[in-house]
Amino acid sequence: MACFNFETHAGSTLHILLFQDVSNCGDIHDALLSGELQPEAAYVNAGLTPSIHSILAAANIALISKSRGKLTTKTVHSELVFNLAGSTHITESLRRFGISQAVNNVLVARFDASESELESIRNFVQGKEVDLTILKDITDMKLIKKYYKFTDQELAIGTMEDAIVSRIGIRDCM
Amino acid sequence: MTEYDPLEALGAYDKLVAQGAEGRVFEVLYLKKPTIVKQRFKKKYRHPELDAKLTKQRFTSEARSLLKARKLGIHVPAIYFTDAQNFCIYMEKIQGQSVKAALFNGDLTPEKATTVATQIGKTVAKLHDGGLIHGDLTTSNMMLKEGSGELALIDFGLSFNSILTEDKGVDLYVLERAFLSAHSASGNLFESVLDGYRKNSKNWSSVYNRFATVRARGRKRTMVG
Repeated sequence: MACFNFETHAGSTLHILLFQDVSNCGDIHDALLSGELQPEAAYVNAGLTPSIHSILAAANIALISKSRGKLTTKTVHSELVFNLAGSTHITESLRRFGISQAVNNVLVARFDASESELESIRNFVQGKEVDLTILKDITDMKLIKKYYKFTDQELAIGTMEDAIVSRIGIRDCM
Repeated sequence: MTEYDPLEALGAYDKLVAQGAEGRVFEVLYLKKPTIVKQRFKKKYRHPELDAKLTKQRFTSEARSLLKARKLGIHVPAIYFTDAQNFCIYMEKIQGQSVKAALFNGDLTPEKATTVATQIGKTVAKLHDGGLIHGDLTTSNMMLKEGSGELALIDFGLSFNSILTEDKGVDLYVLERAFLSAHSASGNLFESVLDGYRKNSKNWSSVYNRFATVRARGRKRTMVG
């Protein structure tokens, strides 16, 4: 687990937890869809986030939209998942980058979490909590290339992290 | 209620780096990284409707060009955030010095300067072959990255998509003028730029022919008759 802050929002924090071999993704997904999941959080397919930086980029944009009262999706947490895709297609973004039955490794992000909220997330997700540093080892390269459509030339000159962040950052211009 | 302004939260207004005719540039910390924010502002002398349209257009086209250049395999700043409300582009700060500064303060040996010039030609060729015109190729818009020494292009504010040899020729012509006016003391570096372009471009002969025409007549086409 790790906690991050944002330069644009001095009071806000983001807690990120990573779980491996999660067995109840289907249940989490159902709970999310019913809108009754407490505490609410962003559940992300960890195979699509090779580094924490893409989550932070998406999270910061979600915070800014929230401060303006201009969230595109229902909550700031779903906005995070939506931003992560760098696409304007909401359903498709949530389907691809959120969780589903087929997902094994889950990254959970929650803004301004309290200790008890983190505890209930840990109780709810049935998997092994692991360190964020292993993110790069559980990346689903095939899928991530398919979704973000990297070119070979750009991966030759820069990091994948920069390539992803650029796509997330530029969404409002596409 | 006043609108939330991320620039204010970042304290950017105290960190102005440069101000030009089109916009302001700030340097802040965003996502824990040194970040350049380029903001286009309203121009009071223009009709508001036209102003809004032009600003928006230039803002989106700059961001798109940056991404396109990246996809073509050219070193450009990573984009962290584009704020369509304030017309701000938040991008990576490239650490290093501009080619212009490097040539002026004598950091480059003549051999190294030639290598850099060839590198410039190669980069521009890649850009042009991909159908992107930079629009403002000068040595102050090229950075030598600290450490790796790789050549990065910045400022895509005047950039546009085109596959016409005319546009490529003019792009090269602007670069030649920049070299002649700023770096005539460094010898005939532009020859090396053209050399790098020739070796890496698929359309060298047609671009070069058009470049020669542009050189003879100047940047603007004469519209007579």
